[in-house]
Amino acid sequence: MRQRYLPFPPASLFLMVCGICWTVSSVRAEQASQEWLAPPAAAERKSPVSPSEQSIAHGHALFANCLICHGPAGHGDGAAAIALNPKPKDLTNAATQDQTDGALFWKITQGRAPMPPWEQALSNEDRWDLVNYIRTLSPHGLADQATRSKQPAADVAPVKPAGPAVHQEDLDDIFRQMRTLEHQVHSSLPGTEHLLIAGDAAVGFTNQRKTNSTFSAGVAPLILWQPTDRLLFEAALDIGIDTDPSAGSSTSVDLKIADASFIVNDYLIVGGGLFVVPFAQYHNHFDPSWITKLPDDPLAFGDGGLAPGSQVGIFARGAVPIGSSKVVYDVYLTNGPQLVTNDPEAAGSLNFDDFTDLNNGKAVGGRIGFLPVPWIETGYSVEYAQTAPNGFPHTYALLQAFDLNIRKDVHSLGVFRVHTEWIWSNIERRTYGGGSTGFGPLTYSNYRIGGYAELSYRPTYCPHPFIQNLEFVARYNVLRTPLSAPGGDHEQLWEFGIDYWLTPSAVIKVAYEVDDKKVGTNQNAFMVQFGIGL
Amino acid sequence: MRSKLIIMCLSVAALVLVQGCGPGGANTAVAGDDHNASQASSLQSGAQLWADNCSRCHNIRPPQSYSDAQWQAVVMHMRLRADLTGREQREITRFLQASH
Repeated sequence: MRQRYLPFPPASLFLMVCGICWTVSSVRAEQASQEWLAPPAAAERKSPVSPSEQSIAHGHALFANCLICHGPAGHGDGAAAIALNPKPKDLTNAATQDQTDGALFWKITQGRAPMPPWEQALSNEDRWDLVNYIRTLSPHGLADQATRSKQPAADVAPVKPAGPAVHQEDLDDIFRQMRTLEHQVHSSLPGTEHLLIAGDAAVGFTNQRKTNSTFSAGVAPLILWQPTDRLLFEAALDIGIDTDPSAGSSTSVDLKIADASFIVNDYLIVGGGLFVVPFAQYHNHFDPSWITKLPDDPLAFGDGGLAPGSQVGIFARGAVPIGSSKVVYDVYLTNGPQLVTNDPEAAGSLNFDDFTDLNNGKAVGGRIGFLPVPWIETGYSVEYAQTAPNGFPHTYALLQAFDLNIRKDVHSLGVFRVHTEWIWSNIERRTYGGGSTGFGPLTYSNYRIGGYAELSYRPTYCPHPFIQNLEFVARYNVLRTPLSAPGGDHEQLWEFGIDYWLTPSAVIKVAYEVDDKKVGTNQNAFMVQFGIGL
Repeated sequence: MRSKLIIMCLSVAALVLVQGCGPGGANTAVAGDDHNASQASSLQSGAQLWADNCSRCHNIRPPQSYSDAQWQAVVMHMRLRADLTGREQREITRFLQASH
């Protein structure tokens, strides 16, 4: 009932977000890309390669180079098209087919961002073969070819009055020199060192049952420095403001990563420092706000979850291709998590946020992953750690996880994703509290299980720019902690969300979650988040 | 526990030794690679690898997002995160640098 008095109740906030997205999508749709004209001399150039069957067949084979952006039938709808600006051109329509052979040849040769120049990669003859093949993509097919030479050139810059004859070779040479010059100028610009600050930022709004609604914010700058080809330094901070109504406002600055990595060879990298441990996939792959599809982390990977995040130690990792599939491996040795023994609220749980080692035993862990095809990755992770503080009986924790990530681009339908990860966390049976500690004694073996399954769909091939930028997400979470432990509970959480992608790395997410706890109070929540990757 | 530790360290060291110090630097295999055919296949597979590997976890970033030098550091960072091989790293970097 209280919600009625909020200045921005969820419904109006939702409408506001939709309105913003709609406006942005229409503005973006109106942004026409600058016209790309071939210079007259290049456009007038006649093809020296006749459109023979052989030439077209060769052009067809070479078209494999173009598929990922221009699409299998040349409609400009390749799998990568969604991320590109300007969009790949539809090679079958009049705008392309009305251009002269010379103009198409010149464009393939020169390229224009984000299309690479193919001058170095394909020979002159290859590129003419490609032009001949592109002609067959016209809806009128080869019939067009006979009349093409008579048509006026539609995509040619105005021709200046005749002057001294210009040789194509000279022009090519000039273009080549210009590109070299452009490259030299570009590489000396500021910000072109092998050093950059990237990272991500998020602004959120949460309206959770039985607590006050609140905005929240965080910025996570990531510093990358690659002084040599084989060496990389990374450092990342997590700067946030905690506006948890029960705890009051506080700011936090956490070091998330500070590590050095050295490339040993194509299949092995070694390194050390504070790094995101490759245990399961979420923290390693999906954590940043512009990647994860919902405003919050999965239960098992959030605060009070079961998965380690960053740890201090050393690692070795790499990948080995096996035919068209790939095996990836990661092993690490770190200080490991801490067993909480004297906090009546959390005794028996693992603290992953303090990097101090409480004992001489270390944590050993790793992950072995398999990619049968590039769009499926599955893995098994394990971590074995001595976790108890000195003075407490040696206590070992065994963490195991299974992960599966499927991302399938179905042409003309869109992108489907399935993520699922499950963690089993087992800590030996111990007695906590008792005596002068003021709680307990509590004796239990601490077996915890948690995980999630997430489905999402984005209709990337929908011609409408607003709809193609929408993504629909559903996630089912489970977290079961022993009911005999402090704060123990069996929790299930259903989350449903709609995302709107403003750019490939900026997203507005709106989500609702339905909570089901066995012991604690259910806290359904409405959440909005703006996430951006830099 | 100590013996486990030693075994662990030894096995990491052994891995390093067995793998040796073969080609690994981001640019080592690219130098002197002027042949048309291999360049074509490199740009093509670079484009494919860029789309395949990046989109597995996040929306692919367009080639214009970073400068040549920045892409080199970014792709190396992603090699660690996404467990790319050296060849994949080189070809993706080369495609992104050629395309912006």
